[in-house]
Amino acid sequence: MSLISIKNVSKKFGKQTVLDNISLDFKDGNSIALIGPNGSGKTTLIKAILGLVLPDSGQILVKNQTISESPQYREIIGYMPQLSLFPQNMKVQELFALIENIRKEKPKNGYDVSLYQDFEIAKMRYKALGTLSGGMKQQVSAALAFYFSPEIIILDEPTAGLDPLSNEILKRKINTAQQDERLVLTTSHILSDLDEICSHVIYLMEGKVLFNKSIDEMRSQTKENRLNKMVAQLLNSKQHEQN
Amino acid sequence: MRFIFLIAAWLISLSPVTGKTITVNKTGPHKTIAKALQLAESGDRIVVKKGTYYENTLMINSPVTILTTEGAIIDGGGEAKDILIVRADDVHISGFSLINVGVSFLEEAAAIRLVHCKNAVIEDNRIDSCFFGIYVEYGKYAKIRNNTIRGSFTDEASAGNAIHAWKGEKLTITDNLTTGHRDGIYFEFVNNSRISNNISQFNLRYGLHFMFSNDDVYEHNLFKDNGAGVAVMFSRNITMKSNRFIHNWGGAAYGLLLKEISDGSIEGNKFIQNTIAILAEGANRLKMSENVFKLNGTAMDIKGNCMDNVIKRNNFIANTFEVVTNTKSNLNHYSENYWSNYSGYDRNRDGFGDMPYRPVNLFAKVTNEVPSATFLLHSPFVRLMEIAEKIFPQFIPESLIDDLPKMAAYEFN
Amino acid sequence: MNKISFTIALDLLKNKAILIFGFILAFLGWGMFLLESQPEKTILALLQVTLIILPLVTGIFATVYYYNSREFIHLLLIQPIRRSSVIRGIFIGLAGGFVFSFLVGIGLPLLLFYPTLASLYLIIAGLLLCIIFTGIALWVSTHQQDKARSMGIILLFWVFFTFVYEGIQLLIMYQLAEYPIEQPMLWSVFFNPVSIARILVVMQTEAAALLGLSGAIFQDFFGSLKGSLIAIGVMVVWAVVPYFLSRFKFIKRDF
Repeated sequence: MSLISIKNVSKKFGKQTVLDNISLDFKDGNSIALIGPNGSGKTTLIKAILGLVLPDSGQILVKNQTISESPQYREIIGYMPQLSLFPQNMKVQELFALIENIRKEKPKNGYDVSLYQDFEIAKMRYKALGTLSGGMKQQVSAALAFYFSPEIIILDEPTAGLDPLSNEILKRKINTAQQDERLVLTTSHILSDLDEICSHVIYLMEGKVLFNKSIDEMRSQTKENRLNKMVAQLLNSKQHEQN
Repeated sequence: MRFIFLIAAWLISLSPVTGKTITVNKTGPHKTIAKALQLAESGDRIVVKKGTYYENTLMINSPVTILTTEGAIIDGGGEAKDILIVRADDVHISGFSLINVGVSFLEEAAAIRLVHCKNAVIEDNRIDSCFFGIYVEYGKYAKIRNNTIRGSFTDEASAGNAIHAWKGEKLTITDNLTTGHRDGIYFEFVNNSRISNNISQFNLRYGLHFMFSNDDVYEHNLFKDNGAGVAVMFSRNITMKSNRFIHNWGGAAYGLLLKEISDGSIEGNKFIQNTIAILAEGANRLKMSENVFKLNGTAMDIKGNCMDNVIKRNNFIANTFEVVTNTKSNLNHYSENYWSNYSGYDRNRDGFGDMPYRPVNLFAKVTNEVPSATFLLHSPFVRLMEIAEKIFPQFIPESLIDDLPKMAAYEFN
Repeated sequence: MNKISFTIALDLLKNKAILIFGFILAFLGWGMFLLESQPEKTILALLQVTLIILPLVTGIFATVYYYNSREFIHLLLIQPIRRSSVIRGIFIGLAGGFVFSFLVGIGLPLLLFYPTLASLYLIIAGLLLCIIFTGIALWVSTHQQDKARSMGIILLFWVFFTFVYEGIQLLIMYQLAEYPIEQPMLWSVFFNPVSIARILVVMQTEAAALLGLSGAIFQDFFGSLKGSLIAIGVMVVWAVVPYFLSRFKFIKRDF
C-alpha cells in the first residue's frame, strides 16, 4: 500500500531550486535510505512531507490524503530531526507528557516503549532538556519518534550523535519496524550505517532523483555487496550515460 | 394675669423706639402691604400675616420694620419692577419669601432695592426667581444677613446678580446663600465692607466679584462650583482670609482671579480642585500665606505683570502644575512653601530642603504658548523634555525659585 | 489548543527574566503605595511605568522568547495540530504571562490602595499595552530570521510610540499653532496605542481640568463614556491586528 506519494513537487528558496519536480512513492514495509550530497534537498523533502516546508507546486499525499488539507496525517508519523531541538527549560518527562496531551488519542497499538527502555530514558526523566548532552538528546529524540507506534518513521541523520551501542539499538529497532510493515525513511551521510537497514535507496542530486532502486535491484546490477560500493558504481555509470 | 399682660406689652413697646404695629392680613382690615406702608409712620412695625401678596414697587419712605413670622410671600408677578424699594434709613425687612421679578435689559429690577439709605437690615428672607436679589445703591452701614437667594438662570448675559452693591460703605454681608445667579455677590465702588460666612455656589460667572472697591474684607466664605470662584479687579487693599474655593472647574474656570489689584492679603484659604486656583494679572504687593492648594490643575498662574508679591508658607499638594507664568523673569518672592513635587533632601534637618525648588515646569510653559498641546500631559516625551530642562535650564525663569522649600506639609487648621 | 497556550504560559512564568520583570513591577506597584502617602502622585508614577517600561519589556521579552523557542515551535509543528493553533497558543501564552505579571504587580495594589475610576482605566490600558506589544513583537519576529534585527526593530517601535510620535505632534502644533489643528490631533492619537492609554488614564485624574481649559475637543471625546469605549476599542484593534499579521505570516512561512 502506498503510504506517501509525492507528485511533481518543486520548491525554491529564493533563486535556488531545492526540489525540482520530484515524484516519489513510498510503500509500507519499506525502509528507504534517502541519500545524496549536501544541499541535494534531502532535508527539504522530509520537511515538505512533515509540512514544515510548503512546496511551491505539486502535491504530497499521505494515505491518499493531500497533506495541506488537515494536520491530522501527522498522527501516523514519528520524526527524529537532524539536530534534536527541544525547549531548554522543559524536563524530559514534561516533554513526553506534553506530546501525549497534544496528540490526545492513544495510538491503536499502544505506546511503543522499547527505545524508551533501551536508552534508559527513565533515568533522565527529571532533567531539563537543555542540560542533556548531544547524544542523550538524540536518544530522547529517537525514543519520542517511535513512542506513538507510528506507521511512518522519518529519521534525519539519526546516527550523527549516537554512541556505537545506541546506534546498534536504533538499527535493530528500524529493522523490526520494517518487519512490522511500517515505512521507514532515513537520511544519512554514512552509507555504512544504512547497509543493514534499508530495502530501497533514493539518491537525490540538485533537487532531482538521480536513481530510485531496491537493494536487490542494485545488488544484481552492480554485483557488489556493500552499499557504498554499489552507490559509487551506479553514480559512475550514470556519469557515463550523461557523457 | 393682667399684671403679666402689662409687662409683656411693656417689653414689646421697649424694643423699637416707639410706634404702632400695623398688621397686614388677607382677611383685612389691611389687605395689602402697599396700604400698610401708606399708613406707616416713622418707627412703626408692619407685621404681614400668612399668604401670597401680589404686589410690587412697594416704596418704603420712612424708617419702619416690615416683617413676617408666617412666611408671607410677596409675588412680583414677573414684571420687571422692584418689589421692595427702601428709600429711608433704619429700615428692617425680615422673614419674607420674595418671588418673580422679571428680566429686563432696561431696568435692573430686584426683590429688594436699597437707595441712598443707611443702617438697613435685611435678614432671613428667601428670594427666588428674581432678576436681581438684593440691590444696594448708595448704601451705608447696611446689614444683609442670612438670606437665601436662588436663581435658575442658564445664560450669563440675561442673568442678574444675587447681591449687587453699587456704591456703598461699611456694608456687612453675612451668612447668605447665593446660587444660580450671574454673580453671587457683586461689589462695585464699595469700600470698608465685610463679607463673611456666605456660601456662593453654582453661579454662572463669579461667586464673588469686586470692581473698583477698596479696603474690604471677605472671610470664611465657601465658593464652590461657580463659573469662577472670586474675581477681584481694579481694587486695593482687599483682605481675603480663610475662604474655601472648591471645585471651580471647567474650561476657563478658576478659584480666584486677581486683576489689577494691590496691597491685599490672601491668608489661610483653601483652594481645592479648581482648574486654576489663582490667576493673577497685574497683581502687586499681595501677601499670600498659609493657604492650601490641593489637586488643582494649576495652583498659581502668575503673569509677568505681577510684582512684589510674597508667597510664603503655603502648602502646594498634588497640583498638576504648581506655578505657571508667561515670562522669563520673576519679580515675586517665594519662600518656605511646601511643594509636594519637590524631591530634595534635608541633610541639616532644619525642616527645609537643601536645594532650592523651581515650581515652574517646562510643560506648563509649553501649554501657555500652545494651549492645544495640553493633551500631551504626562506623556513620556514631555517627561524627557522636563528632565533635560532640569539639567540644562533654558526656558523657564531662572530666578523663580523657592530657596527654602519645606520638607513636610504645614498643618493648618 | 488550550493545553498549548497553557504550557507556553507556564514555561514563560518559569523563565527567570519574566519573574524578574514581575518582581520589578510588584516592587514598584506595592512599594510606591506603601511608601507614598499621596495616592494621586503614585498613580501618575505608575502611569509612567505602564507607558514606558511595560511596552519595552513586553516587546523585547516576547521577541527573545519567540527566537529562543524556535525548537519548541518546531516540535509543535510536527505534531498533528494546525499552525494557527500554535501561533495562537504562543500569543495567548505570552500575552497572558505579561498580563498576569502586570495584574499582580501593578493592578492589585491599585485596586487595593486606590480603588478609583482612574485605577480601573490604568489597569485596562496596561493590560491592553501588554497584549499590543506582544502582538507587535510576534509580527516582527515572524517576518525576520535574525533575532538581533528583530530586537532592533522592536526597540524602534518602542522609541517611536513612547517618545518620537508625541515629539512630532508637539513640533507640528508649534508650527501650526495658528490653525485649528485640534481635530486632526485627536485623530492622530489613535495611531499611537501608548498615547491612547495615557489620555484614557489622564482624563480620569484631576488633570482633566487642564484639558478642559485648552483641549475642549479632547475633553468632549475622552471625557464621555462613549469616547472612552471607542478609545478602548481602538486599542483592542491595535491588540488584534499585529497578531493577525503575524498569524498570516506564520501559516505561510517555511521552518
